[in-house]
Amino acid sequence: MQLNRRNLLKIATMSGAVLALGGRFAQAQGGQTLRVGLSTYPPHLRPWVNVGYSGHLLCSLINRTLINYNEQGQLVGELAESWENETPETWRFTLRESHFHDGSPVTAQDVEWTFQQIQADGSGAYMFDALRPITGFEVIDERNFRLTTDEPLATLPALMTFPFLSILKAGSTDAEDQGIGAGPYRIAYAEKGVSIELEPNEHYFKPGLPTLAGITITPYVDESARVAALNAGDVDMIDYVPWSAMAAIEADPALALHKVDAGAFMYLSFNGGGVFADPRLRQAVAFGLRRDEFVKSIFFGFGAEMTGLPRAAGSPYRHDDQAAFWGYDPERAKALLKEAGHENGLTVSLLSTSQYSMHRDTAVLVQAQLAEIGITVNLTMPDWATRVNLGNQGAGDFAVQGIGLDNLDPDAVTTLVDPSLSPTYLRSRNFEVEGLSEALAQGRSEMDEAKRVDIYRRADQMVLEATTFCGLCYRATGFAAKASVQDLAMLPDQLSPFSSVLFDKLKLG
Amino acid sequence: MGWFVRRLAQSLVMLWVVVSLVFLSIHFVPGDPAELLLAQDGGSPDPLMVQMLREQLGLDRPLPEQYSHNVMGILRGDLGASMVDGSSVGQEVMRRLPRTLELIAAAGILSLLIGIPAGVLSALRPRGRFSRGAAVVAGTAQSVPVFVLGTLLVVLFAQVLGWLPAGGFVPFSRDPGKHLQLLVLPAATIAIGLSAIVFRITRASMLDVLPLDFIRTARAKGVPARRVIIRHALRNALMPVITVFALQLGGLLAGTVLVETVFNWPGLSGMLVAGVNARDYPVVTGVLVVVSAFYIGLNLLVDIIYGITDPRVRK
Repeated sequence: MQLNRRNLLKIATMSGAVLALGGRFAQAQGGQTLRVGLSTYPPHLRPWVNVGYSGHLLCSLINRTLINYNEQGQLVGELAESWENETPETWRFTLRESHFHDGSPVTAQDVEWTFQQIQADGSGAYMFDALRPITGFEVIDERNFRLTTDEPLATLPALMTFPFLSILKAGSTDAEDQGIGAGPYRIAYAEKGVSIELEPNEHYFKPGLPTLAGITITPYVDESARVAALNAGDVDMIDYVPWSAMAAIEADPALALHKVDAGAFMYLSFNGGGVFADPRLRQAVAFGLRRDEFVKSIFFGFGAEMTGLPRAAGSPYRHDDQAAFWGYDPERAKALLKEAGHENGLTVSLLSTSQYSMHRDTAVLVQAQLAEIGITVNLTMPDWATRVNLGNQGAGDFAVQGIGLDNLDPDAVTTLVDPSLSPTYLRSRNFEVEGLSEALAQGRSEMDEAKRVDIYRRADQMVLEATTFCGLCYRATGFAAKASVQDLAMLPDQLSPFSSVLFDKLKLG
Repeated sequence: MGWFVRRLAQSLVMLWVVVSLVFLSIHFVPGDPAELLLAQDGGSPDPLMVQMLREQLGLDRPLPEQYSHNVMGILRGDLGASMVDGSSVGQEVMRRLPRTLELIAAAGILSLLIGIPAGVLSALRPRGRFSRGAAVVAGTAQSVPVFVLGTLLVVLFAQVLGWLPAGGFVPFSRDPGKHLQLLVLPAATIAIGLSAIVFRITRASMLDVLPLDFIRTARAKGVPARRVIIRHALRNALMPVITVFALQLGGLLAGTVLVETVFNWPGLSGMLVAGVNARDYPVVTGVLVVVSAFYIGLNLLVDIIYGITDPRVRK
């Protein structure tokens, strides 16, 4: 063919048509493979290391824990069929008949090996600290084992649900790769930063599951790109739905928004090394904030006010009076300031980050609202890495925080509310509340539910009055999917970002 | 020969300066990789665990020791391992570099195909409708930020028309058709702005060349108009176009962050940004060393070519 202008135009037109038709053809080939747009590619596939919510989604598709939560927030057995508290310090577990990806059975020896890896010095495991109270592991037989703790530990079953406590086949990994798990899928192909393809595990212990022919995970770090991919039909489902897109997704009949309003939450922590050593000033901040504005302006109305501690609705540990403790009361806030000797105003510094809009906007709103009661707030908002570093060094009088709890046991809030724990950027520091640590420890070791309810009610009251933690608002967390994605269930409240533990049931209609 | 050795030595010194500056700047920026690794999505790092991880990563060693370790590694061709996942930085750079180069090359070709003909046509009738219209389009294309342009293209071609995917990447070896589909929108996004620059430079350069004597002579000798424009005028007008174009392409090597983000293209820029956010020192150093070496190498090559073609340069 002669290369002239006319032929070049023909080639260009034909190439365009092929590409365009190719695009349509590619979209039509959904089949039974679910295409997921994930907010980030997991930084690595090492087991037991915290790789965030997105990493957890992959982790829960390829691995299983001993115990899990169901949609109602109740503990249910996964690899463990049953468990019982034999003595205050010992727990007996019985494994169900289940198999790893390679077909070998899940045994008590595999669980023991997994615990040994996590508890090893320098393991870097997320559960390294949490498993410290476990001092003994006894293999009774292939399917039974006994755990011994250094003191009574009521939270132990909840600990077993933790993300990144997957049971892997003994010796299957040197902790550098993902090892052999017992989840509904296994990795068939992975290219770092590009995509991960999963294929079903034919040995999965739940009959008839998984039903999908496979799952393709593609990272879309930019939230707009992620939503665009869903709208364009490039993917069937996305995680970490931006609040700005939730209303449009809800209104689109071709899409479904699966969200929990009381997902993660925003709060303030205080540094007692400065003016906030005085609890009256911490209370003044807590009473001087209009929390509904945080929900409306930062989270587009997808969230809820947080006027107490993060206790799940319907939980026996939630009490109405405590849940509504920090109502907006500017007169009381001003009175507290006056009582503390700051009737002419107070200047404090607030640490946040400019890297994430929810942290930045929260700081700006806190600054604006506290100005109304006479507190001048100077903002320090570096990038996230610097903010974490400054926070760990104890910079700032108070700090904006955002988090979700990783289990529903009432003790889960301890790490956020007890300022006497080792100082980290996540919680208040440099002051103590008399009796709080003891009450929380008592709650951890008490096996009787009714007594625990009383203990945590007392502990919560101490936290509220001392304002070691100042809740701002819950923010909705969720997944968006095409209407054809079926059986997408969500875990309740703060567990919702970890809902992927229920994704073994996902189907495509 | 002495001149060449001197230039080579200068380039190596430049590279050493770059490595040192990058190392120092990233280490003096606040932020601790160990803290960040343990603080994923609200993880609460215990100070003891942070200390243990710092020891594991070698961050507890004196800075001069870390520096010499870093430089010796680079001299051996080893860019180290990522602190986040332990993977080889060199291998990851080599995996991502071709993706970014492919994106830049596709955008470059597209911009030349648009910018040069438009510039030539515009220069032939500088006050004509086409010229005025093209100037307006070029001005607009240059002034619209790439992330806005990229988003508009996604909305139009992926969401409204459904002709092309919204973004992503599939290796050519796995699916060539899909790979090319995914290349179209990000390449076009870069090309639109770049073609405006090529258009302006070509137009200006052609306007300089067209009134010159040798063009008039060629026309007087009866050389066909198309041949005069392409063979005589454009050929002579291309030098500044190529210079500016090459500089623009060089800048894109580490400057496609926004396009890579909008279109989810896993190239070198994304790796650099993730490295900076995680304070992953080996990744940041590795990417910048490779990019700098690329620039310095290109400069050296250009200098050598100048030296060969113009002996005065060597004096």
